[in-house]
Order: sequence, then structure tokens, then C-alpha cells
Amino acid sequence: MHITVTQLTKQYGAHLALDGASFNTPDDAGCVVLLGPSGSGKSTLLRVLGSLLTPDAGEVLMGEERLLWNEADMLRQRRENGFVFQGFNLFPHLSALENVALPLRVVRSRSDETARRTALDAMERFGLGPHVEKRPAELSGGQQQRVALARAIAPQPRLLLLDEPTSALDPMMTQDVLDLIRELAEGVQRIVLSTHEIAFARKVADWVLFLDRGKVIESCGAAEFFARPITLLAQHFVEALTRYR
Amino acid sequence: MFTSWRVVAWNGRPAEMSESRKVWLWSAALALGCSLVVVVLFSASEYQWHWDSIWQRRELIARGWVATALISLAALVLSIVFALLLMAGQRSRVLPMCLFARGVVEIVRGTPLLVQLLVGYYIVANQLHLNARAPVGIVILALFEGAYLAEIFRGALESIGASQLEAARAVGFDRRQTWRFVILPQAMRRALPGTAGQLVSLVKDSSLLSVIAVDELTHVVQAANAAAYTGLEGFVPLMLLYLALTLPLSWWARRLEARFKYET
Repeated sequence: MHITVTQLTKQYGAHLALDGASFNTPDDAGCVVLLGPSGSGKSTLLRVLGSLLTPDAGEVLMGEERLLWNEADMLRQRRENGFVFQGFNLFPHLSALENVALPLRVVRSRSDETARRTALDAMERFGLGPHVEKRPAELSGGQQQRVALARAIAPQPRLLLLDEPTSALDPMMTQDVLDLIRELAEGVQRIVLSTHEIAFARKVADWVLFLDRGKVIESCGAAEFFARPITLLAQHFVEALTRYR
Repeated sequence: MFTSWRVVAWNGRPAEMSESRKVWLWSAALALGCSLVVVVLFSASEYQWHWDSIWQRRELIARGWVATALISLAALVLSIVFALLLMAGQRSRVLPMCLFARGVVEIVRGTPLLVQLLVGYYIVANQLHLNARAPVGIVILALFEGAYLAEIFRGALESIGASQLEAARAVGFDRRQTWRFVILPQAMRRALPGTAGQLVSLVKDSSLLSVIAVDELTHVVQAANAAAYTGLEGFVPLMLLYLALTLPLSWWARRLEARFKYET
């Protein structure tokens, strides 16, 4: 599924988060990675692609489907996606299992038993077996993010969107979560991911979008990007992030 | 007992008293000490106690106690209704509605309940020819507590952060599902301890209804004191009877608070 974005703009007050961002990804780009300095618009772009945010202007094509920006269509589009956020954003009043199973029941209309089964399968797969009945507050950051990942993939989304999924985790937990994401990326799951983990990006990315001040300043195959970043900023960025690795 | 003694003997240290036993023992000691001070104080004042004249009026006082409990219950239900209306009003996008609700909350919270009862009953209710003291008192009391509850509810609702709302949208909840599964369960949990605490205040504040001669506990005890020509005897049971209502409530409030702390 290719993604085509033209002249996407999003403004918060005086701040231009997206300033005419445009790019194309090819059909076979299963894992698209967004790179760029903090504040360059990665999170905003991710949210617009996932229909969580309405852009002020511009157009998004997901395959042949043009995204629409009224509330009903956005809800329908959103339900095709899975999201994982930087801050986990689990529901603190629900057990880990309910975090995963509740959306399956009420959004996908699965039966209690099917939802429970599906949720347990996803959680087992991510090594959460012993923790399913715990509340988020009783879990470590890495475990919480794995629950969030299970919640996102359990309904088998068309697109999985991850917004800096490891930036709130310590290095050990980061490794765990990145391993799972890599496993997903190497499977059939289509992923759009923003990250500062450049070594990881190099391993999983099929396509790289490099953002700066709300614009996509590089859009190319991952091998090509990491071998020869074109812009000076991207060169500095890649170099800075790999200096101590 | 025997086993614990053996353990003590083995590690050679005196038995540690359990925390809860310590609390009980100290509470009993303090209560006894305070009682002694009170007894000494009153025996020095040469006041002649006539407990029997209050005991003779126990039925009247019991009825007053039940009335206080019922008034509190009615005012509680009504105050929650007022609180929801005032909160919804303050969050309304219709400016006059928002200003009106905010104005009511500020005026009610900025004036004493005693004054509200006097003005509400002797001026407003009289003008409207409403002479039923208890219902008028209940409405005024409910409005007073409702204004505080509205702020508790509003705080609880606004404490649900943007990230929770985003997570709700991200898993595909529509607006109704977001309220039902994400906002309300969390907001209610957060509002519960404050609400329970406010309920304790409501029970105590109901004593002010005596100024408009509603036959609740404080008023009947005053009447009993007057009828029996006793000055003070009624006030001791009065205090104990209020504690009988409020202590279980504050115990419950504290338990809710502890549970809430654990969950976040």
C-alpha cells in the first residue's frame, strides 16, 4: 500500500507543525520510518496519517483511498489503524487484559470469549502472560509499552503507527520493545514509525522520511538514505545519533 | 501465644507490639485521659447535672436524629443533581449559561450557609409563600453543598488528561464510548473521596437548619434543654449523635482515598 501526501499543513496557534509536507512511499515499503529533530513535525504527521488529527490543508492517499476529515469518516479510518504512543497511554483503571480486550468487544463487536482469547494470544506473544491481570501502575514501563503494542495489533490493523515508542524507556526495556517491533516489521504488518533510535531505524526501515520544520526534506529508500543522506541536516543528524553507538 | 513467646526468647528481643494494637491502646488511653479532664473541669464548676430530664425526652431526640439522617439523605441526592447541573453549566459553550453557573457557584461558596438559610427562608421563600420549613431548608442546604460538589466533579473531570482522550480515540472509541469507558469511570473514582468528605460536611451543616426551626437533631435538643430547664445536658448526646452519623462516613471516605491512591 503506497502513501501519497501532498501539501499537508497543520498549525497550532502561531506554531506551524506541518508546513506543506509532501511525499510518496512505494507499494513495497512495509516499514516507513520518520526521522528528524524534535519539533520537526513527526508526531503531527503520524497523527494526521492515522486520522487522529485533522490537517488545515493538504491531501492524504492511503493506497487508492483518499482520507476524509469529517468526524464520522475519521472515526471509520481511525478504526483501521493501531497506535502506540511515547507515553504508553494505557487506561489506568483497567487491567492489562481489559486494556486489550475492551476495544475488541466494543469497537470490533467481538464476543466476550473471542475478545478474551484474542487479547490473551497477543499478550502471550509479547511475553505478558504472568501480567495480564495487573493494572498498568503495577507494570514496568517496558511491560506497559508491550501491553500498548498488544492493544494496537490485536484487532489486526491495516496500518500500525508508532510515535517514538521507546523514548520513555531505559535501554534494557528499549531493546525488548524494539525486538517486538522488528518482529512485526519483518512479518506482514505495515508500519509507520517515528524514532530517534537510528541504529534500529537502519535495521527495520524500508523507506525513510526526514523532516525538518514541518517539511519532508528527504524521502527515499532506507539503504540509500543511510548510505548517502543528501541534505546537510540529515548528514549531521545521522552522524550525531551514531557517534556514541 | 506460646509460639510467639518462644520466638521472642530465641532472638532475645522484647515482643514488638503490633501497630494496630498500639493504636487501639493509645486511643483508649487518650480517651480516658480526656474524659478525666472533662470530669474534673465540670465537677469544679459546681454545675448540677440532671441527666434524667434529658433521658425522659429520649424519644423526641431520637426522632430529631432520624430527621437529621433523612434531611441529610434528601439533601445529598438533591445536591448531586445541583452539582451536575452547575458543573454542566460551567462547562457549557453557551456563554450566559456558563456565566450563570459560575456566578451561582461563586455566590454560594462566598457566603455563609447561615446567611443563605436566613435570606432563603425569611425573604425568598416567604415572598413565594412557601412555608414548609424542612423542604425549603433541604433545598438551600443542597444548593450549598452542590456548589462545592460541582467543583469536586469539575476537577475530577478535568483531571482526565488529553493523553487519555487521545488513547480513547486511538483504540477507536466514539464519543459515547469514550465517556462510558474512559472518562466517567476514572472521573467518578477521583471524585469519590471528595464527595464522601463533602457528605460529612453536609450532615454537620444540616444542624444550621435549626435557625429556621426545622425539627432536626440540634433543634430538638435545644427544645429539650429549654423544656427541661437544663442548660447543658442535651449537648453531650447531641455531639455523640452527630459523631454516630459522621464517623462511619469519614471512615468510608478515608478508605476510598486509600484505594484511589493505590490505583494511580
